[in-house]
Amino acid sequence: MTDSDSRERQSYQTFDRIYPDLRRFAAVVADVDVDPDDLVHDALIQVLERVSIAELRDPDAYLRRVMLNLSIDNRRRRAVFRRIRPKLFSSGAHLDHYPSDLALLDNLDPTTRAVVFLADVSGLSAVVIGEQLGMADGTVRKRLSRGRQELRRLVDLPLQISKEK
Amino acid sequence: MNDLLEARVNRGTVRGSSAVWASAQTTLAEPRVQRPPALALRLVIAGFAAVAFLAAVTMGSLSPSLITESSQDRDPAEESQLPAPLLIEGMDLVRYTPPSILPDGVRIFTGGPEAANPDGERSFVFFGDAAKGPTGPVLGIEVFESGGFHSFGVNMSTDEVLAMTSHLSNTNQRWSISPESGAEEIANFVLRTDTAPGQLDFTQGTDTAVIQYDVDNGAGVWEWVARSHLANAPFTSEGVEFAGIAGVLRLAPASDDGQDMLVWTEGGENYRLAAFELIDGVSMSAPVSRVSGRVQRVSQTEWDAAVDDIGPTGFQSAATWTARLLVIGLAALVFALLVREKAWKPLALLIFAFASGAILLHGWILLSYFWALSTIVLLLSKPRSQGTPPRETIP
Repeated sequence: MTDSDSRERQSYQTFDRIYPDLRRFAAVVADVDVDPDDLVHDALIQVLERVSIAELRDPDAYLRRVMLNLSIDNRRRRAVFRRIRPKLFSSGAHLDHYPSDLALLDNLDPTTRAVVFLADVSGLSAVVIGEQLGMADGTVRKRLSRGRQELRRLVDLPLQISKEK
Repeated sequence: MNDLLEARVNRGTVRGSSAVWASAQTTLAEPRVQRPPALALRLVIAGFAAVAFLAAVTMGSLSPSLITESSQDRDPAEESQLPAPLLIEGMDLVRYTPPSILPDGVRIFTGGPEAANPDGERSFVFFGDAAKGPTGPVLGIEVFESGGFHSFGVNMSTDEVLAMTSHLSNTNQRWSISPESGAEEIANFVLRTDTAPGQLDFTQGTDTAVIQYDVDNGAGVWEWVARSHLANAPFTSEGVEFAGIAGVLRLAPASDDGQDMLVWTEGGENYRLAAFELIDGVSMSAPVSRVSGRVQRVSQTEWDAAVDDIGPTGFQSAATWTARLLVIGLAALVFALLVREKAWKPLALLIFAFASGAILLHGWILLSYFWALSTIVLLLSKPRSQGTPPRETIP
C-alpha cells in the first residue's frame, strides 16, 4: 500500500468518525431547503482540494468553519439572485404550503444558528465556540444572546397570533 | 427552543459518510475550473496598483516648485552641484537621424520640421515620451537648419553631444552658435532636462535662458514660460525658433524699446504672433501682447487665453486620451474582478469611480495618490466571505 493510499484511508477514517457531528452541524447552518449532506459534501471537496483531512489538527472544527462559510456564501448568492430575478422567487411555486417550524431557524443568519446550536445543543462554552468559528468570546456571547432572544420571539410568535385570533 | 434545534439537526435523509466521501472523490476526479484564490487576486491587484502608482508618479514628477523656479532663484553653489551625466536612466533610446525614424515610445511633440521651421531658419524640435505626456522629461532635441537638419541629443553622453554639435557653425548666421557655444547649449539643455524634468536651461556665457515647460494636466495644454536675461545674447532680429508643443515658440531678441521678448506663435508656415512676453533682463515681466508691431501689456487673463487658444496638437491630445482610456479600462478590469465578491463591490465601485474621475478631471498626479490609497485599503480590507479558512487559524 502506498503512502497516498494510506493517507487517504486515514482521511476517510477521520471523516467517518466526525461525520455524524458534521452532519448535525450542517443541518443547522444550512438553510432548510439545502440538504445537510450536500453541504458536508461541498465542504469536504473544498478541503480535499487543498489538504488531506488526516493532516488537519482539528478536522472537525476546520470542516465546520468551511461549512459555515459556504452557507454564508450560499445565502448571499441567493439574495443576489433573488434581487436580479425576483420573478423566480415571487411566483410562489416553490413555496412550502405546509411550512414546518424547522424553517423558523432560517430567520437567523448561519453564524448565529451555529453559535446557538454549539452552545445549546452541543453544550460548548463561548471560548471553545469562538476558537472553533474564529470569533472573539465577546462576539460569541453577544450572538448567542441575540440569537436566543430572536429564536424565542420566533417560537412565541405563532402562539401570540393564535391567541389574538 | 432546543427541541426545535434538535428537530432541525435530524432533518433530511442521512446518506452516510461512505456515500458522501465517494461522491466527493468522484467530483474531485472531474476536471474543474478553479477561481483564483483571494490572495492571488489581491496580489495581482496590488501589483497593478503599484505599477500604476509608480507610472503616475514618474509622469507627474513635475512639481510646482520646478515650474516656478527660475535660474536666478538658484544658488550658484547649488547650480554647480547638478549631476553631470546626460543619460536619462531607465530609458533605452537610440540615436536617430530623421524624425520619421524614432525609437519606440518617442514621439515628436511638434508637427514636424515644417512646423518647427517655418522660415527655413535654424530651429529646435523637442522630443519626448508620448506615453509620459508633457510632464515627462524631454528626451531629445533636434536642430533644423536651412537646407537640412541635424539631429542629436537623444539620450547621449556629454562627449557624444559635444562631438555631434561640433559641426554646427554659423552657416546662416541667424544665431551665432560657435561650435563650442552650441555644444555648451545643448549640453546644458540635456543636462537640465535630465536632472529636472520639465526644465530646460540654456547657458550662454553669463546670460542664461531658462525655458521651462509645464502642462495643465487636466486640459492638456502646454505652456512655455521663459525667463531670460538675454541682453547680451547675440540674437538677430529674426531670432531663434523653438518648436513648442502646440506651435512655434519664437525667441525674439529686441523689441522697439530694446527689451527681449518671448513670443508665442501658432505652428505652421503661416504662424502669427499669438502672444509674447516682455523680459526686462532680470526677471519676467507681465505678459504682453503685440499688436501691429507694437508692444502692449496685456492682462494675465488675456495671456492665458492666448496660450489656451493654441492648445495641444491633435497627436498629443490623442495620445493623452488613449493613455487615459487605457487606465480607465484597467480600472474597469479591477472592478470586474472585485465585484465577483459581493463584499468588495463598494470598494470596487469606489476604485473605478475615483480612477476614472481622477484621470478625466485632474490628470495623473491625483491618480497616483488615489492608487496609493486604494492599494492600502485593498490590502488591509478583509472580504467577509472567506471560503476555506487557512489551516493555521484552526486550533
